[in-house]
Amino acid sequence: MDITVLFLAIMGTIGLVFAYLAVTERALVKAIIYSAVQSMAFAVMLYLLRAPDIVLVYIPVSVGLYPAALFFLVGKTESEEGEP
Amino acid sequence: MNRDLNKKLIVITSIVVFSFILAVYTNLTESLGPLGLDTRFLGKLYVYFTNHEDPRVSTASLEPVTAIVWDFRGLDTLYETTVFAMAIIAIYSLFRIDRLEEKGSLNSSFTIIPMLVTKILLPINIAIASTIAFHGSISPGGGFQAGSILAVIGVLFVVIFSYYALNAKSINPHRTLLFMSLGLIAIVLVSLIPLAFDVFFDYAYLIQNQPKLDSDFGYPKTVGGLVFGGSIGLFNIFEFIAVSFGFLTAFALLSIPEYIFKEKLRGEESLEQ
Repeated sequence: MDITVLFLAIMGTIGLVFAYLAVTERALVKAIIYSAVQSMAFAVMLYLLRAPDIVLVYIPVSVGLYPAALFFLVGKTESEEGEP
Repeated sequence: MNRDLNKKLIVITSIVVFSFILAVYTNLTESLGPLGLDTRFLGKLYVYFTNHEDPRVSTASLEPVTAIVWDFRGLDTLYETTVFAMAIIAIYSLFRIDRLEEKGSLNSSFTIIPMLVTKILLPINIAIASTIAFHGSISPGGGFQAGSILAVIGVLFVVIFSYYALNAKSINPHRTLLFMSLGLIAIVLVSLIPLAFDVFFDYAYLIQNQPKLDSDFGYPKTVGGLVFGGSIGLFNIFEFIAVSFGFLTAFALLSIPEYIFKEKLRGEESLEQ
């Protein structure tokens, strides 16, 4: 097995697990952090897939700006997801 | 609680097993499965013509992705920039706030460490962002990438030093929106200059970069001996300005404390009564 594909599989799995955690987490701040971890795993995957242009825009947007925007919104609304 | 944990474990384990099986299966049919077997003809053409020796079919850029983004598919990117600008303007119109009189200082509720780190990171971040923007036609990267990297330090600055610190440095949403608009106007001008050339001198196309078979118009390939990529270099620089100030506008608006809006709303209500 190619080492790149192995890394891709590991990173994809980490991304999937953290995506699941982000969806099921009730505390919104924690969910945002899980989502950022998932984005980091995906950024590594994009790098392994030889798309440096996408990585350069994916890291600042998905790890920096997007969680920051969500943190601001959580600060303005509520930090816990309401009962369904 | 214990049942919840068990449920979570079962779901996560099945996800892990599924993704590993998928990864192994796709590896059996050559690295990426049916997707990775062959390069498509269009892709080969893009790479072949990105830096062709004949200037009439070349894009004058050394980087195929940037060449596709701003030359081969330049119109798409112009539309994307329009969508981005419209989103920022929509945010701006949602947060109606006309004037902020309170002037703040560079005080922060954080300790000295994050403040100092932010101050050290500021010049480094600006250097990295401008390198990515100006080298967009040589190495991976470009205007949007550089703009979002610069916006990150703006957000960090807002978080560490609060909105009033930005205000003390005379950075407010109105001003950043003005700079974003200037960047956008410059992008429009760069794409319209060939049209003006067409009206007054010779045949030329809209958002034309290098000379074509039936047109002599072309932006400079190199500036001071460095590869500039004609209009690609100009587009990268102006997109850098537009995107960074666009993101800064959005985050400056988001960081305005909530009580200011509440006071404003209360004022409007009392006016109505």
